Amino acid sequence: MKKAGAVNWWQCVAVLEAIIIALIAIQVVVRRRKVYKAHRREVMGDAKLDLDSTIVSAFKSKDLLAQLKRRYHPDRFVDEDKKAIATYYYQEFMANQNNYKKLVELEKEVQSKLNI
Amino acid sequence: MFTNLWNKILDWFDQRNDRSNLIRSFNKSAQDAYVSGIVPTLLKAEISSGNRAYRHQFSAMMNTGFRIKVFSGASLDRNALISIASVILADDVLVRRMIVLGFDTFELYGEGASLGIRYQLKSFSNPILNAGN
Repeated sequence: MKKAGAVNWWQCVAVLEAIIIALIAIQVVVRRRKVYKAHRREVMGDAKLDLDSTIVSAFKSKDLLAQLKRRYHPDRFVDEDKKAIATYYYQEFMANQNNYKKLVELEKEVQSKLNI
Repeated sequence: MFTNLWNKILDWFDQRNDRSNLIRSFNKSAQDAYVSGIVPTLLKAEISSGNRAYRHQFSAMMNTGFRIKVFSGASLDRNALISIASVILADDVLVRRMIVLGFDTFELYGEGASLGIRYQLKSFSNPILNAGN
């Protein structure tokens, strides 16, 4: 016959064991989630996504492209070398017509090569 | 079976988180560009219900639209909206990210939402394959 109010030590040990097992399980899950999240951040991170450039391009690329097409059109150059350079850059302008940042870089390049 | 269900639940939460992060990053970039005077128009992205006709294999269960609202002093006509949309949709990485996150519809609305255009994201996912369309 058990005394009322007596501590059941075996029950306490069982509860403690259950708590320890739960804590270990949680730790394992959390660690795995951390690794997964780090990987996901690497894949989905904002590093590859240049939203600033996209937003600026939405408003500025069209005008810059028109300006570049007018200024560096191959037909404006008589010299064959310069004409070839202008033709190459004209194609580059068209290929990057929606990328303002790239268009600015190309403008600098073509300016230095054609000495304009 | 339990693992599969558990993974699905975790993926759902992750996707929700990534979707809000994308919207937040877009809005932050748009606000910064507008405040610093780089662009004349403020853009604001939000999640919308999308169009069921544009669904693809990996569409989210609901709220599959990526809507951008345009705020400018003057009212923008349809051509201006198309021009903005075409540049945004030309960003291959952004389009693919949206598809991965379960979006299937891209919407661009002018002021007061009286004028808007809507695109199926799938058509812009592979510019090389879709060049002929």
